[in-house]
Amino acid sequence: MKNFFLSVKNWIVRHLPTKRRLIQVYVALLYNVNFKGFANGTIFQGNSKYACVPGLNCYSCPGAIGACPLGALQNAFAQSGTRAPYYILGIIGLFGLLFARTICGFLCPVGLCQELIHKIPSVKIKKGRATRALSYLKYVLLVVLVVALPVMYGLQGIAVPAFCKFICPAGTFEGGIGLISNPLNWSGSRDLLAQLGNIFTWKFCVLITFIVLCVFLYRPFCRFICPLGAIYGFFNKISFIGVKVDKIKCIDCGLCVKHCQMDVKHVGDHECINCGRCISVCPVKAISWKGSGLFDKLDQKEEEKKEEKPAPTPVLKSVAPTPVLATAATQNGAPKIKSTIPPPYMPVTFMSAAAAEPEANKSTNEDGDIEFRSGAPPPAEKKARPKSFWIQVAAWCVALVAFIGAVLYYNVFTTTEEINDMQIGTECPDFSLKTYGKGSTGSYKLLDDTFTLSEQRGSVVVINFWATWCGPCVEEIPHFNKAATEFPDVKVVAIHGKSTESVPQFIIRPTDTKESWRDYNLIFLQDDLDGQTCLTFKALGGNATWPMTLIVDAEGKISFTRQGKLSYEDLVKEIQKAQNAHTN
Amino acid sequence: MTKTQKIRFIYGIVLTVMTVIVGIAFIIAASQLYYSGKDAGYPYEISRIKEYILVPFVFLLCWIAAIIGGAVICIIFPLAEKKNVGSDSLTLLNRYKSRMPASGGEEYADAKADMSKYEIIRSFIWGAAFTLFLAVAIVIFVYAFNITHFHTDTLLDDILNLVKNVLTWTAAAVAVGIAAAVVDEVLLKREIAAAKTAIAKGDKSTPPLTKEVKKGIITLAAVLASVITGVALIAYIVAPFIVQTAYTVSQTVIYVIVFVVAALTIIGFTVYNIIKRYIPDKVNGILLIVSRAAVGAVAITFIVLGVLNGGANDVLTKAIAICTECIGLG
Repeated sequence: MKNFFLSVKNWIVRHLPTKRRLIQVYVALLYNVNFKGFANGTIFQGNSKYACVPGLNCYSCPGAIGACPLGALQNAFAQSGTRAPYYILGIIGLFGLLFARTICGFLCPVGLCQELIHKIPSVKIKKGRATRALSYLKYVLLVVLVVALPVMYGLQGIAVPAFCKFICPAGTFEGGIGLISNPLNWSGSRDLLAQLGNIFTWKFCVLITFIVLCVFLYRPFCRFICPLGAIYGFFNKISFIGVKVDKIKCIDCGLCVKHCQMDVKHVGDHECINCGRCISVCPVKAISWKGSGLFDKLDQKEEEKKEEKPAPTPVLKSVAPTPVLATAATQNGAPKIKSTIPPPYMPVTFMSAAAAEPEANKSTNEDGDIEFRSGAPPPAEKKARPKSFWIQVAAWCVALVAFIGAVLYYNVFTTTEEINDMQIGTECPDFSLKTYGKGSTGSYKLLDDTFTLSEQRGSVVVINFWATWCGPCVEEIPHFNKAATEFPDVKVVAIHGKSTESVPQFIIRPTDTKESWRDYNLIFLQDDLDGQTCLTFKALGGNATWPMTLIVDAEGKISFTRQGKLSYEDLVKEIQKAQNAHTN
Repeated sequence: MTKTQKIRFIYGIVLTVMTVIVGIAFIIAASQLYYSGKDAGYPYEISRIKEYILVPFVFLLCWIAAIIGGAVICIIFPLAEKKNVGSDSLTLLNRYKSRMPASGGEEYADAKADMSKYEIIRSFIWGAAFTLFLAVAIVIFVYAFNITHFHTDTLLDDILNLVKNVLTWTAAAVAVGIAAAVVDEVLLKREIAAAKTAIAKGDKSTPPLTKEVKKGIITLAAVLASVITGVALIAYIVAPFIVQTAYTVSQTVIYVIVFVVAALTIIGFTVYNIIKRYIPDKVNGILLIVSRAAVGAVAITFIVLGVLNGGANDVLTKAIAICTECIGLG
């Protein structure tokens, strides 16, 4: 029994988290620090989402406080017909220059999840020439799904973030499951569960496949699929932070490549995620962190200062274990080397023999040297920790304070706006909005004429909220036009929210596959805006999901509400229901 | 195999099988849930989810129990740290080559001739493979950047066609890459054997051969291939614009930007790799500083331009709305 508990203790000690793991967990929590979003079943809508987080973290996650660079990039490419994607390209360029694929190794929650799942003991598939060849698949996905498809469809007026839509498991897990697992999103106007269809089924299967693959393969998503890793890989050679090899010391033994679980050909190439594991296996200490020379110089200066003082004779020194094949005699096998920091950073302690040893064990020999009685182990001499250690401690303290500050800010000091849950049968709030139409000069623009809901009593009114940047919204507008044509006594209004481009131009502009909407039977309105908030959208129960459709019957009561895309058949069915309710 | 290794191996196999079964169970449940309910309109009602996910959920609980049990097994039967031995074949070959004497007898000469033969075959295999990869890249580019292949009213069908066309070529390229790697490995092992013979039979009094950089032909081929690819990509966009105005101005501008960037990237990387091989480290150091400064300046300029032209607002507008497509709504 005693041995068992000792084994447990040794197992725990061997499996203590490394500094890299702690950083990964810290960053994953920091990216999703809006914990109350999980409780409320909604996403954060504050200004910190101007900034992108460096790693892959879906901005539809209830906890996300920043935008996802890959999602933002696809949306920017989708709008490249009207606006060049400078901002997101600049942000990605800056992240790449600073960190490159160190982001994958340290700052990506998806990478963390894959590594944790990979710890599950099973048969493991080793890397080889086949996996190296497969690693180039992510470049194909980058070109096709992240660049080509959003550009092609964006030129036709519809935003299709193809990678997010068809592949990204982070969106399914963080956004999809994160939102639909909240019971608040199961009914009423916030019923997201009812919107799930074939895309969710496909993405759920993709997510499960990745989770299963992670058990057998190390980081399969990062190695074969992730376009963001593909982009950051281009910067690996020039980034400020990462691993580097001293070519003079390097003996080409290949141990670093052999030990690495990514498909690298050499340390620091485009597949290297700069996790630093190779640093501890290099037998000649040729691999180090870029910029680590600064810490070496700091420690060297301290050593030089200490050399001026006479140092006590060291009799016992506990040295950091040699990383490559270090073993310690323990009862149950060798402990694993956990640290990714090379030996100079590990604290070395030894005690001054003269200071620590009790007097009874000491005597002075004829030469005046202090001798120790046989059998008594000479005590170790304590040495001050190097400056670099204190810098690390300071950095951790700052990080902890920043995290606590973020938790307080996002969960205590930031207020979440109440969502109006519009129930079927309740009176629809009135609104009066300006319309788009042909002006006196003949140009299509926002007019002073208004549309007021209360003036439409006696008719069924279909209200659709849409936006130019919302692909599903733009896809379903023709359905509403068709319904407006089929039901001439029904008023169909399309209220535009916040825009990223000129709405009148968007409405009248035809593309190869999108006709001009100028002559549509819809009434196009513009919602009133208060900063980022669309007031009518919010008043009628809108939260963060676009598009949204409401049907108001002839008595002004809500007969149908839906967040998400609506098919033509469902729309017709609900219109008929509203008409029949009035007749009855 | 020791007793510990046997137990852990069996446990590993059992958990592998359980993992696959749990994964398949969830996939089947999701598919059944969708297909059995799609005609009704809302396949993902909570009552139906509970009904279909119950069985895989039970499997999942068993799997979690097996993992916890496995953690106990790992504590009771710990495995000693494996030592990493050996290097991959190419590294091994380079090390043998660096120890090869400069001269020797007849057997040494035969061994060297064999090594040259294998080198030539390997160069040919990889040259052919890379040519195919570039051809596949052009095909993928040409298909993916042809707007007539994508229609907003047949989005899913067009995506399936894209997968059929692009994935076929990609799979072919990956298969060729794997085949080339397998053949390369076989040839490397033979070359290593010949290198060992050359070392054994060579004149040990002569100093070892210095590293030969016989990369001239491959380098030239790589440069030519990348230039041809770049020109082909640019020609693809320019030709219809000259012959007939098939694209709108904005389409043309975007195509030119994308294709020129792609072409420059291919050429740039090839040139960069050549420069790295042949120029001294000091110049490499200067190039590093210059490239960092250039990328940094461009990145910051882009961010400022993006804020000014409204790109930052676009990011916020999209990020504060639930991306229904990203989470699978619809």
